[in-house]
Amino acid sequence: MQFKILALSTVVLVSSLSAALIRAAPPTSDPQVDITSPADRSRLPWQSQGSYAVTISYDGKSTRFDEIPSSDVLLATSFVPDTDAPAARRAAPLPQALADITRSNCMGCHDFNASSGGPSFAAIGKRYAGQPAAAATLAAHIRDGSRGAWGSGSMPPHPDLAPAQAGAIANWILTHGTDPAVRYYVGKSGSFRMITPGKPGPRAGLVLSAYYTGPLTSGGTRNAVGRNVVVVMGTGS
Amino acid sequence: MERRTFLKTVAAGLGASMIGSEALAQTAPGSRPAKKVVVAGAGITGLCCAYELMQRGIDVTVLEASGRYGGHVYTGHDGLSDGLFADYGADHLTNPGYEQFFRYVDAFGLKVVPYPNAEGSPLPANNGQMTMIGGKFYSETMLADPATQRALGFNDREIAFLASHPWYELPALFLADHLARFHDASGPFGNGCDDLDAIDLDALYARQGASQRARDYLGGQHVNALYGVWRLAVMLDRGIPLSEGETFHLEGGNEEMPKAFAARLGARVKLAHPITAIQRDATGVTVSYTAYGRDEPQTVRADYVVNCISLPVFRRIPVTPALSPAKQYVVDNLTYSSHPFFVFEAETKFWLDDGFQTLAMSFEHPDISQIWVVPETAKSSRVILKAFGPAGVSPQRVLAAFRELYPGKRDTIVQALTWDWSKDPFAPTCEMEPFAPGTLKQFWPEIMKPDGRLYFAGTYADALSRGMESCVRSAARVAQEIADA
Repeated sequence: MQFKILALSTVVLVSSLSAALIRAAPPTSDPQVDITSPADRSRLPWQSQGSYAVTISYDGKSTRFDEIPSSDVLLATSFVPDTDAPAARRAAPLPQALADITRSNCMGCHDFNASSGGPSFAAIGKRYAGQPAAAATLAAHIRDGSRGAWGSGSMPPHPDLAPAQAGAIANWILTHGTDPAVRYYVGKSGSFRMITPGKPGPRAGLVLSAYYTGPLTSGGTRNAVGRNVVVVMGTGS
Repeated sequence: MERRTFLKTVAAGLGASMIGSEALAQTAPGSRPAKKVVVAGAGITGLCCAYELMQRGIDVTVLEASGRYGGHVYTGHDGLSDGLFADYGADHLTNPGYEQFFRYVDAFGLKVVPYPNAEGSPLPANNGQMTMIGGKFYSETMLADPATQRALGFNDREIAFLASHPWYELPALFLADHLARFHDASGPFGNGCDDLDAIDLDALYARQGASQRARDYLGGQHVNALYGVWRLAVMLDRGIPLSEGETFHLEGGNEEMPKAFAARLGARVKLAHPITAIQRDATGVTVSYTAYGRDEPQTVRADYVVNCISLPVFRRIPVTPALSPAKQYVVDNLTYSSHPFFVFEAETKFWLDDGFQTLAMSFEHPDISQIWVVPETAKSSRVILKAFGPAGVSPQRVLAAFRELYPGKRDTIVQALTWDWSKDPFAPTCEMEPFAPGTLKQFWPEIMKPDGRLYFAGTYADALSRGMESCVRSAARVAQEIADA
């Protein structure tokens, strides 16, 4: 009897220890990012629109149940001349400036390539292109707000962004905002465009890369696991 | 549609409405099957358009992505005491200027309440409006004094004009010649002012001899000058004064209007049914959507689709075949305003203790530009104030700015709230911003036209984009166009 109690206690102890160890084990440090649509190596005509859908799980939370907000999902589409090239399969690391753009309230009024409540990043990049003080001017607008630069609307100040972060965002807008080969879309689902910067060859297509831009837990990284890159081949011309 | 026919329909405007024609909702026996229409979005435009289609006997379904209807017309009660409420989106109506809207008010038995000084609109003379210029507050009496005007920088011609006109009539001083040329306000072009498309309104004011002070007051930088003149011409045509008319809101809040439309549409309105794709062919349109809580897409077939979703949200929906390049330009380049209202609840009318008749003040602070009083919305000694500030700023920061600037002793504000539209995924935008110089040719009349079987209605799709009135006017116009198609 004593043995049985001892054995039972041991089992309980081992179970408790296992449970404690499981609880204490650090969660996976990388977000699980899956592009559920479009299918990899699917085909779409150039200039058409396609649908995309992304699910992200991280730190026990999921976009499926809105525990991770849709605004924490960023999709980048990059034109590649050859979808069979190994480089087409690699997602470029997410610049911190882009994570800051989506985590601050920028996307509430701005879009990357189209007008919204404010000018697109592409339009801002185009207006300030080649101006030596542009980065400093934009960084000041981001930090302190501005009024009348694009019409009657006003941009609020962003004290949540450190000067270095505002500077990095300004630089990103100036250097990448007008890149005709890349487009960005925020949200766990929506549409993307089969845009080509020039006449596409027969093996050209778009590489779709999805990112989690939300907050990271201690030790977490933005290195996604899962199907975070798919290739869509363009058809027609 | 032929351009001439299209413009004729546009010009018909109010005549297109079929309010209250309940008998017409039935399809006559033996007639061809009713047209089927999907309306995308259950904001005030979508609901009004669906109502007008229903009145014409057309089979209509409204698909709304959000779990509530009304979109940017939103009356909020949360956080306020005594049953008080505030409109966080569409703020007021005007008379004149809301003729179509008032038809629905009458037809549905709604009531309007006078709402003077709404969004800082002009009060009758000597009602206590205070304006901050260069860090100093000016009363209306001070601003009417020629010596003050001269010190502020107005020129002789402007001072002579202001002796018999309020400040808000200054555009008439500079644009009278251009307005006189506008013989057909149904469109901007062909009225002898087409060259103004290339410049901004500020440059036109400067060309017309406006002082820098007048230009600062009037604004107009980055605003297409032809659009600015055309807008005033349409206002003139519709009998809307430069004061913008008397201001009102609906008893119970402006959301009473979407509620009235929705009540009549019943089960035709499907909430939490986001559209995921629109596919068009020669005979109709297939709309894909998901029903609330379900992942698998469903489809509905219709003869026509009316997009009543604001364009920045609409462009997330893939359309196949793609829109024409001209329409895509409009969808990608129309700029909207998106400003929040900041709502303060005060225990008393504290400004009376400081000798102010009312609280109607404009400021030069980056966090607050205007504050005004909302008429009583519930039996309460408490009072609701509304303020303008930029999107993304917290209400506490706006309140702090007000407290820094208010020239009285103390306030009795106990609550500061807002609805941050910039974070609203379904209705983030308000009205359209004026077109930029050099772009009007690309927008007009494309902005009003259908793209195949896909029609467009919304605050931007009327000759005068002006609050809820342009929403319901464009909705009724499109309903008539589809009935005629």
